[in-house]
This record gives sequence, C-alpha cells and structure tokens, in this order.
Amino acid sequence: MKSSIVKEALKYFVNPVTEAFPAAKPYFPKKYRGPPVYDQDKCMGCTACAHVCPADAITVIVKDGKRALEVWYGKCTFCARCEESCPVDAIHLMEEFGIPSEDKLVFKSTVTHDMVKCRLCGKPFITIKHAEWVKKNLLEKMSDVIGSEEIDFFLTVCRDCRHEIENIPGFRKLLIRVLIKGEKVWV
Amino acid sequence: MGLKKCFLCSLAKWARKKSVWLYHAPAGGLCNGCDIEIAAAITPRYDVERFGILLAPSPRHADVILVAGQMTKHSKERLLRVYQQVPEPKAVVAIGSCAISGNIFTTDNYPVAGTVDQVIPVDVYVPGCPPKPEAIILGVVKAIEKLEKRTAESI
Repeated sequence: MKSSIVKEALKYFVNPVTEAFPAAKPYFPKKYRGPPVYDQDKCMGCTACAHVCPADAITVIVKDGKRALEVWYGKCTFCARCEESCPVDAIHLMEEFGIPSEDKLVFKSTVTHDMVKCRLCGKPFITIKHAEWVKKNLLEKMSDVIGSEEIDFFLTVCRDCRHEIENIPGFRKLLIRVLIKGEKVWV
Repeated sequence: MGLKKCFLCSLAKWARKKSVWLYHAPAGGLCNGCDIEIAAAITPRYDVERFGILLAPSPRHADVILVAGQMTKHSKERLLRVYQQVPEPKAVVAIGSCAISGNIFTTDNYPVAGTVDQVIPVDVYVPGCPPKPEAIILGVVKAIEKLEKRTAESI
C-alpha cells in the first residue's frame, strides 16, 4: 500500500501531471458509468428498466401498435439499475462521457418494438420479442405441463382480460394444472 | 460599422476568446457532486488555465456562469441577480442532470422552482451525474463559441 503511494508520487517527478486532454484520450476508471444506451437487437421491450429507474429517465410510449422505450440521460442518475435489472443485457452504461450540447433533448437513446394485439379486447399489450422470450422460458421450465400451442393460445390475451379468468374456462384449467405442479413452492 | 475595424474592438474580441473567466453559481438543491467536479476541472490535472479559463471571485468579472444543481425557490432570486450582474456578452452553462431536468428531485417537488432554463437562458447543457471534468471543459469551450458570436453582434 505505502510503496504504491511512493511510486505514484515519484511518477510526477518524471512526467507532467497535466493530462493532454483534447489531444489524448480521457482516462476512465474501472466500472465507470457513462450514459446508458440501448441495443436494438438484444432489447425485447419488457420495460423492466423503466420500472426500476429512480429518476424516471426511461419513458415508455405506446403509439400506433408500437412500444417505444426512451432513455433521456439528461435526467439520468447513472446508477446502473437498468443495466442490472435487464434480463437480456440490452442496456449498457457506456464507457464515455456525454458530449455537451446546446439542445438538452439530444441526450437520448431510443428503441421501438412491434406489439401483439389482445385476442379478446384488441388492445396492444406485449411486444412480439417479449412474447417469444416468455414462450421460450416457459417451454424450458414447464414443457411437461404446457404445450407450445397452448402457450400461443394464452399469451395473446392481455392482462386486463386475464383478470376476468372466470370467463375463460381453459385458462382456469391451465392455472390449476400449473398450481398443482408447483405445489411445494406456492402452498 | 466603423467600430468594427477599430483596434481596441478587435483586441477585446481576441481577449474575450483567449481568457474566459468563469463564475460558479450553485443553484440551491444539489448534492455538491457537480461542484466537486468543477473544482476538479480547474486543478493542475486538467489545467484549464492553459486555455485562459479561470475562476472569477465575483460575477462582475465573469464571462461565463456555471450553474449546477436543481433550481430552488430560495436561490431563484439570487441566481437572477448573479445573472444580471454578469456584463454582456455572457453565456450560461448548465452542469449535470439536475440543472438540465431536475434528475431525482423532479420539477414538482415543493422547494423547487423548476429547472434552471426556466429562470435564466441556458446556452450549453453538460449531461452527467456528475459530468466528467473533460465534459465540463468541452461545455465551456462550446460556450466560448457562443460568446464569440455575441461579441461580433454587440460590436
């Protein structure tokens, strides 16, 4: 520990302390947190990042059957909660600093996704990529309980319609089957 | 128009570009993170004095105001006074997420009087929480470009 301090001190007798900033690249320490940027290919639009954002820097807009996620790092705290909550590593805090601008609405990163419409009420409620991801995970963990076609059948019903579960007898049966399978966990 | 060619005016133009003095005005609600980064930006490590950038003790000596933090009701009048005291031409640099949008303090909080650009005109925004000293230097450099334009207009 002490020898490292002496080394650090002696270093400045040889080289100048001043960083040649505009000419040389700036130094970024380990685990530096810069502006968050979305990866359009990886992101599936599940809005987990928007839910955990403490500063509400991430907004979700549903328009014309498309869901747009937008992170405005002019409002960001750079806490990296979005990065750690993302299930598919689609948002990253880059190793760079935000370039100053005259317009404050420039500091943005956006992704848009196509959405699935509800089979019963016709409202768009989930992105296509997210539905595929849910299906893949369900098949991995519960392929003995639910079939692939059955998942397709039930994944196209929105949350509000699913609350009226009494009206869909098939749904009720499925729920009972799943509950029985995972009895040790839930009961 | 004749004034444009006078020697003193061109000297003033050149001097304004080569020696920009800053005034650091914290706008109330802030965590001091941005203040510390501003202090870091004027240390020998970044050495902004090689660009002629210097911290001024009074707004009357300054060309550029650095505003950091969320605008509170108490500091609103003070910031306005500071802005009025800076001689023309002047530029304002908003530093950090709080000055841009309010960050986690939001704009509908009870001691808050909106963002900085609702009180005084802001020329350059520097994002970051807090921004790196390099970003602050780049922001001031952008403000210098604006100052040059204004000097040309005023003469």
